[in-house]
Amino acid sequence: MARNPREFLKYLLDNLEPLLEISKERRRFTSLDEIVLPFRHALDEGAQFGKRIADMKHLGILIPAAGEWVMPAYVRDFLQRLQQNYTASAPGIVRAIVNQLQETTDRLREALDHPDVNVSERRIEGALREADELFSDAVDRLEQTCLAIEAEVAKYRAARDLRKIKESLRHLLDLYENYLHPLVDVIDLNGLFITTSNRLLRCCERLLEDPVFPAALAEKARISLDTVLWQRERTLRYTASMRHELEPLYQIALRDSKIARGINRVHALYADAGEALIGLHALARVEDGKEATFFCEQSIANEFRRLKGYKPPLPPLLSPFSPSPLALTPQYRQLREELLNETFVPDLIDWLRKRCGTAHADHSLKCVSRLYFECGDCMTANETDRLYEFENVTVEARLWEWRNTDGANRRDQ
Amino acid sequence: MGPTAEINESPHQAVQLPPFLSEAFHGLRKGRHICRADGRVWFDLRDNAEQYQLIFTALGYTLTSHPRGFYYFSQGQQTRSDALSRLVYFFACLFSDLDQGRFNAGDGRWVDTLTCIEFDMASLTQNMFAASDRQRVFDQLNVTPDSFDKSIIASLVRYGIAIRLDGARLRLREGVYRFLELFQKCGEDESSSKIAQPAAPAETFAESDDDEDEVTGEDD
Repeated sequence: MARNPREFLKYLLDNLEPLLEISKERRRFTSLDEIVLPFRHALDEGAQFGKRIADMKHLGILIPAAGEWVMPAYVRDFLQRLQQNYTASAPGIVRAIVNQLQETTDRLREALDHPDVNVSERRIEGALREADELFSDAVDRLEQTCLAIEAEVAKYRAARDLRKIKESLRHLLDLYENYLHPLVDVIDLNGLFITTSNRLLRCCERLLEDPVFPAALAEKARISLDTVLWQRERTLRYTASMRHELEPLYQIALRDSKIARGINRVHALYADAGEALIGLHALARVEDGKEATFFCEQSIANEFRRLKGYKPPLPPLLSPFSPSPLALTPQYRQLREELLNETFVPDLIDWLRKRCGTAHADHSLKCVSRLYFECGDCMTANETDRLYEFENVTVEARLWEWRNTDGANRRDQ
Repeated sequence: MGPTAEINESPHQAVQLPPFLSEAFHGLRKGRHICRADGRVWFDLRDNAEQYQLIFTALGYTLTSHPRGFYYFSQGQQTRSDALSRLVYFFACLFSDLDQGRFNAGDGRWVDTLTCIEFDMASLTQNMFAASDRQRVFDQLNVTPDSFDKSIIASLVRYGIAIRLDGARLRLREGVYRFLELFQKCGEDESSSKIAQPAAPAETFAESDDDEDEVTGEDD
């Protein structure tokens, strides 16, 4: 069976997801339907499953073993390692590695400060090697995280199925909030990663410049310096590009998630409609208006002209004559006080009319009405009606008498 | 008002008004959301935005320009509570359906393609009343499958939030993003507590009883 490595790799790339699913457990397949199942989960309906399975057998990704189909151990190992590369590192681990690097760099600097000690050379060499390893480890993990993000972003962009899009968006939210964002804090310009790598670079420069240190050590320092410089540059650029790529998708994911949550909440509010709905409606301001009755070409022109030519009114001019006192209608409270001093009034409306004036009938009649509610026991209506003349109207009303026997007590109330 | 509308204040001074002031004002005053699909009126609003702002502010209205490129009056009469309730619930159901992949819209990325989706009226109505819990709520809101078009779709068209393509299809316009933003606001954690508390009634529905009969959703 001829196995073309290019075809093999192409097949792996095209069918990575179902193959990872198959490689998870040491699965053995007895029928074609069992093999198709992971493909059906991962790929669209239009995919040619029959051809894919035939290619898989042809490329040796599935081999026959005792009447069953199995994935060879080397393919399984390869896929599992590949999967590890797509696993984001927890930011805590990266931070711990960078912390460890900081301690090692401190140790290296201490050793450089005391080059006269006998064991110093070995200590410097050991610390430098350890720092190199830790730095590479941190960089590898950062790149691994970026790779995982890149893969997820590609997955999101390629997804056509709603379930996969939602899953991918959820994963992107998680990657951004729990992985990329904390990592950016670590590798930020003022972050621990840059500070520590700067210290390491300074140590390397000292080893290179100071003739006290042997040439072999200086050579190692030169290699470390170059490696740290370019690896750091590459990682920072890679992380920045990932951040740039993920940020808008994160915003979309965040927005969609909020909308979905909002829809659920609104559904819940309507299912149990009560006062809470008013709160919701306060958020939803959709204005409504009737046809404007005042709007026509002429009126808008007039309005516009009026607004443009508007001048505030001038204050009134003062007259040389002293102003006459204003004739004010007495307030109800005053009238009531005055009335409480009277023990007997034969015609209450007439009494009020004389004090309030005949210009307006309603003030006098309102007073009668209020007095009736407040001091009703002092008022007695006669059987006879009377006509009361006011300036604009003649009012026909009952003749009311006022008798106040305990005026003092009422005033206290 | 014709395209050469102007006010002659004096022989030497003339104030030019935007050519589509009348159409824009009539639409906006009715609560319409004017978007690009409104053609010349929208272009006039966009090109003379400053002048429009000045005129409408002087008349006591606030013209708002939404980042999605549509215009509306943001200070006006609040829609009647039951009409608003119907619209909000309709959108809750519609967005929920879109989010669950019904209507085969936008490959799951429906939020940004909302104004490109064409809804078949029959299937839209059918979907709205498919679930019994929805039916129950619509019953409370006095909406039946028969009155669905008149009570909800007609209002949407009147406010410029949707457009009827022909008798049987409907397309949403940019104004729908105001509702989408409402749902986004509701979904924010901090706003959930606000929703739970009823707002002051005076600010919420400052509408007199006299207006109620006239504000019902009659299509133009």
